[in-house]
Amino acid sequence: MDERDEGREVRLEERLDTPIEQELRELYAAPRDPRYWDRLETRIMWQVSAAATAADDWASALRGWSRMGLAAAAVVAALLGAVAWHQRTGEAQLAYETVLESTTPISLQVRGRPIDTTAPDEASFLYVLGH
Amino acid sequence: MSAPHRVLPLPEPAPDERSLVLAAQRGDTAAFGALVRLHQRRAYAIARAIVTTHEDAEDAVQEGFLHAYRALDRFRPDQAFGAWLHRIMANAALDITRRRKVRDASELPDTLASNFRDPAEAADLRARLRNALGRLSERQRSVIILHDVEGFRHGEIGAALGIPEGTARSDLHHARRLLRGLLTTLRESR
Repeated sequence: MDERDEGREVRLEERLDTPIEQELRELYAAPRDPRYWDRLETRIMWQVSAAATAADDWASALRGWSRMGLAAAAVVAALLGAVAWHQRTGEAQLAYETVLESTTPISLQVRGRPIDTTAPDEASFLYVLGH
Repeated sequence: MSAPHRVLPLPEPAPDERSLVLAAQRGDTAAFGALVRLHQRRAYAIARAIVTTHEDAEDAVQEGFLHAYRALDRFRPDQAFGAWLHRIMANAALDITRRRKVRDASELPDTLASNFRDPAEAADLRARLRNALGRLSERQRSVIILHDVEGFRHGEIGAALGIPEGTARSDLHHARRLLRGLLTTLRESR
């Protein structure tokens, strides 16, 4: 049994009184005049066309803005790149100059252990160094 | 010598709904117009079952189709277009009902009372029926109209109103019982 038959069976059991059903149909009946539906369709399509036109306007405006936005973004990127390059070059130059112009003497510290001149090994060593 | 036959052009086969939907999704407004022609009566029936007047139903149908047009890119062609559209129509009608409730909350009882005073028998039944329908919940009224007046199936009603089929079925049962009870009470109270 398909749903439609099932529904019909339920209706036969519980359906409303005929006058009530008739009255309901009259209250809620859709207009029968085909011209009514033509007019309604025209009104709907008028609204749809207006919405489509508005959407097209927005799309073309957005396209224009996106083109301008891309150009502006390219200019900003180029500027940022130039600034970054300039900054990096300046820093490198400064580093070279700092190294080249530095006058601070390089200090060397040699740590030696104290020599025991009385020790026989050390005495021989000192003798060799001294001649 | 007989007059040459006038060759009548064969009528073009009506494009199927799916190709109309695909064309409308590509921005073909004429294809959308064809979809409007196909669905406007059923869309009206759904809206009329939810709102209380013909004018509101008409507004709901117009708003619903406009919503549908704007949401076309979100519609997946493997879905049933009718069910998708009916859901949009039901939502548009419910929106209108909510707006009217806020605006006309104080006016409704007067309207019903004036109908109730109609002396003719048929008009009396109509007035009682209107009164009783006004006391049903929005969903109960919608279900009873869609089923008993428009002949929608339970599944179709469920899909349009966003409720399970079983709920639509039991809503119909309760709505009929309530309506019968209300009509009896209204008759006895006169």
